Amino acid sequence: MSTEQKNAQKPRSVWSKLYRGENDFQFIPKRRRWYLFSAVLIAACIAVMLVKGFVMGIDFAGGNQYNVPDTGQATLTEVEAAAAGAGVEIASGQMAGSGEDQSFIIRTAVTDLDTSQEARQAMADEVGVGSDQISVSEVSATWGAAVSQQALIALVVFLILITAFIWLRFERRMAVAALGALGHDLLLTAGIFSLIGFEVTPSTMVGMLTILAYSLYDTVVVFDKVQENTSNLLQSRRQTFAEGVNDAVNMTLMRSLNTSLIGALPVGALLFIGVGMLGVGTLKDLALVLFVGIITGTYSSVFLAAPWVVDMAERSPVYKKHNQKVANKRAGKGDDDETARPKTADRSDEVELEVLDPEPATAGAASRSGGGGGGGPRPGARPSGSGSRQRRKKRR
Amino acid sequence: MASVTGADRPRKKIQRKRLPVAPYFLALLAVIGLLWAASVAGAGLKFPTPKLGLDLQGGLSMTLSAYLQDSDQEPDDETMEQARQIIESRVNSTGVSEPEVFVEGTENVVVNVAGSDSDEEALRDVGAPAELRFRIVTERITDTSGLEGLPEPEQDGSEEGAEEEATEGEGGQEPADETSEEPQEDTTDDAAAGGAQVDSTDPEDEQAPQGDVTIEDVWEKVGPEAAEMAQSLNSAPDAASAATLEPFGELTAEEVGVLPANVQFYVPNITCEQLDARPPGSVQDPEVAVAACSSPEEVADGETTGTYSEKFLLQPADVVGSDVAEADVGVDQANLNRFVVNVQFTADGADRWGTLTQENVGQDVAIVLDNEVVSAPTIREASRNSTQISGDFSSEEANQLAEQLNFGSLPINFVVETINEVTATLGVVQLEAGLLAMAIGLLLVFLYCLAYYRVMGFIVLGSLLTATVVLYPTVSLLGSQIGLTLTLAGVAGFVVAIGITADSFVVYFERIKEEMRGGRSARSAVPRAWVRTRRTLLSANAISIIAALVLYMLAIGPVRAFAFALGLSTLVNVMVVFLFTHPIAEWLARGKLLNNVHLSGLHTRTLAVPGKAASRG
Repeated sequence: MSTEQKNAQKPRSVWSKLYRGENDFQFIPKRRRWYLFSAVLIAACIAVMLVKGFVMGIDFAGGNQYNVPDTGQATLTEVEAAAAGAGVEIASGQMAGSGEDQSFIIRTAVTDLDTSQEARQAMADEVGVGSDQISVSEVSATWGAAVSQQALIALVVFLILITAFIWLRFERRMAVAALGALGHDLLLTAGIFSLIGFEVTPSTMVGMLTILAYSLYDTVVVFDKVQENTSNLLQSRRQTFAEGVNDAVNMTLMRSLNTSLIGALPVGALLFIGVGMLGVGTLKDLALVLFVGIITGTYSSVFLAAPWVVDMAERSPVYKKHNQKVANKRAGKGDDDETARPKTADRSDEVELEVLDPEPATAGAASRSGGGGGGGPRPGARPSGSGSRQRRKKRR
Repeated sequence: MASVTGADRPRKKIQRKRLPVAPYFLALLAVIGLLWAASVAGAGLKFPTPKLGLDLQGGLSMTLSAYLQDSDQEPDDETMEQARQIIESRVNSTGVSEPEVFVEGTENVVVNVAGSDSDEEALRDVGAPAELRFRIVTERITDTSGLEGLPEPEQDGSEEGAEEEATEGEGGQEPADETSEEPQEDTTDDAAAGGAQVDSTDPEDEQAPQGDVTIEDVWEKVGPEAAEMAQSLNSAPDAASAATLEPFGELTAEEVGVLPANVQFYVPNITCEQLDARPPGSVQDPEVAVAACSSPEEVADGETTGTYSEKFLLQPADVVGSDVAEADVGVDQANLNRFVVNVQFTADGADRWGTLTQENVGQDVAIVLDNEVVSAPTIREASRNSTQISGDFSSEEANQLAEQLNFGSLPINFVVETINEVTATLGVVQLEAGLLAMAIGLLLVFLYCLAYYRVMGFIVLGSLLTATVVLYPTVSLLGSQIGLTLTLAGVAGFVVAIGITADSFVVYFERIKEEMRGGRSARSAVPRAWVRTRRTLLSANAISIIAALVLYMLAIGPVRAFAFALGLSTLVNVMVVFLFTHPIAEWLARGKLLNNVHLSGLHTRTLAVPGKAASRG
């Protein structure tokens, strides 16, 4: 959302450019800047986490939570005192809700059954209601760990499935980049939680998993466009891979921002209601982590995931060669004035490349022809993406 | 709703057009009609309502977790199902209406009871293993650690409560003094023998069940001096020794649990509070000697207040819970206000009980339920077929014990992990909060889409409403058919899904915009955009569905409902986009509306070049 606001506040031209899809931000060419920015951010997050740690919720330490209706007879302090008088150790007390629904939320350390019942009765007497009007939630000290452990297992399974899915649906590089972006989102979200001191509960842990799905959803939409834009890239010399990806990111940028905002709107409503009416609980925990995660997820798919794909792709000989070809073509176009110098330099480079990497070049060619002719049994790993894409296109 | 008008009006027009749109709407109508019909039928021909979770209607929800005896070995499904059935019958016997008992994950049993009339204390005990053991008492002492302001540890006269008769109904009036005096001589031998036995078997038998804590750790914690002294004890130590043994008072219940029985018993610093809190199953093994306590008795006379209990050193058990054929509740003949549990033995059990009572006339036999000594009457004479368990029972407690004995003991031990008791008032507040969040979320998304996509915002609204019209009967139907409950976390899932659903439209509309930016009219841009959008949406939603499935299958706790809501919404979302949003966009594209620069929200050309729209319009 913050990105959105920033954009809105900037000169109107940027906003209207965005709206009209005429934006042409240099995400990819300036990617190192964003890498540096993200690296600093992540380093700061790790530092904060190490220094400040997390505020762990009741579920991790174990304890009781009482929801005492506010009848106007007693103040928060009096209710706390009543509970403490019954022999429980008060961890925190707060007010929640408004009007008739206002209530005190008292949290205590772990107690045995009798003490818990005594405290409940004492608080009920204090505010003048029956003890069955007080909601109680008791959590053992091991429950939080059990929930987190399951969440961790779910995380691992999820990552494996997702990597496989993106690998199959797109390509290896994208799977790796998506995973990297996920790691970034996790760290950043955790860092923000640590920094602000938001409470970590089992719901937060599971909310994290949902964020991952959300972040991936976003990344997949960007990748889908990247794939579309670059499917015929190698056949022409019009654009380098990096430029193709940059175009794709720009084209989906408005969608990414919209997604982020539209995703954040209901979550914001949830957060507002969760905190305002209920004070604490699942609703707030989930909404908070989602809210933070949706924003980081959008950032990472635009500024990190797509550029990473470019970085990885540019290391492969096929794309290196293609970049060279594009450069040559451009040089050839604009070389009216200075023919001699660059031309010779380019040519020597080209020759060298071809000598050095004859195999990938042929592999690429083979797969390209294979793609056209119905496909060989197992085209080379890297160009297979373009081959299968072609085939898919044909079918349509 | 929107679909109805959308389907009826355009039909004539559509039939002349190339792309048939009507079948989509008809299919959608058919699905909606079917779902509503089914859910109305499922609700008994009334307006269907989703089954609300306990956090939205008030009630008590409890999670019991299997206490694993060995950290590597998880209970199998069959064991869990067996445990679930026993727990369910126990819950039913507490008299609550329509309890829900189900297995969650691999080792949790969840008990849900609606309404606020449930007895929390009784419910809490449904997870107790109910392992019954009859053990001969080697030695008994009074534990006064729970008392305040008591100078002398011995307190006579107040012990009747713990003292009962076994075979006859007479109230046993002889307190510990007499009974323990006579066997004192030979129990020293017994204790030494028992202690030796425990010592030798300790590393295998006592340490294994505890998982994390080992006996070596505990010896290390209390220090070598205290450890050595404790192991050599075979009677109560004098005051000087007691000081050395002080570190034992600091041990946690788990750590106490791994100590040999004679150490647990003779070290006075180990209190009954520590012994009672040992993990479930600590005194279950019938093959070994154990230490256990009677339930604490309230004392309040003058300056002494608090509780005291009796600490017992017990021999291996010959007669166990499975030897019980039948148990029922009776009234103590001597004191009609007190309740007892009459126990009939099986043929096998009767033999063993006969032998036990015959060989140990004059000694005490402790009736141990789980970690606690329920009563420890003196054996007056040999008996065979039946006995009577009399503790300080209320009629409810006696009933509960009898039921537990009748239903059998649980195949595995459980500990209570969470208890959530929500009052009906709070439930209503939470339901309102969830619905309000949903309404606000919908409104915000609609307003944003209206501002951004102009008239297409209404398509978003229509699609979201269609999704709601599909989701509502689905949730109701699942509630009445498979017992799916709508919890607060589930509501949160649906609210979050609003964003994800709306995003599908964003992907689609942005795509149309892109095509139109290339100079196409809406009429040709919309179908072209759809081809690509379809692919993107299917890939992206596949991610959401994978996430929801993984969470639903692997996570525990309330968040499964969240995952379910998210997954269901995603599926419905895909359906709505295919059957509603796409056809209606196709249909609108045939009219003039979307080519209107001001209204459609899809035009990205500046007003300077409205030629296209103008020429077509």
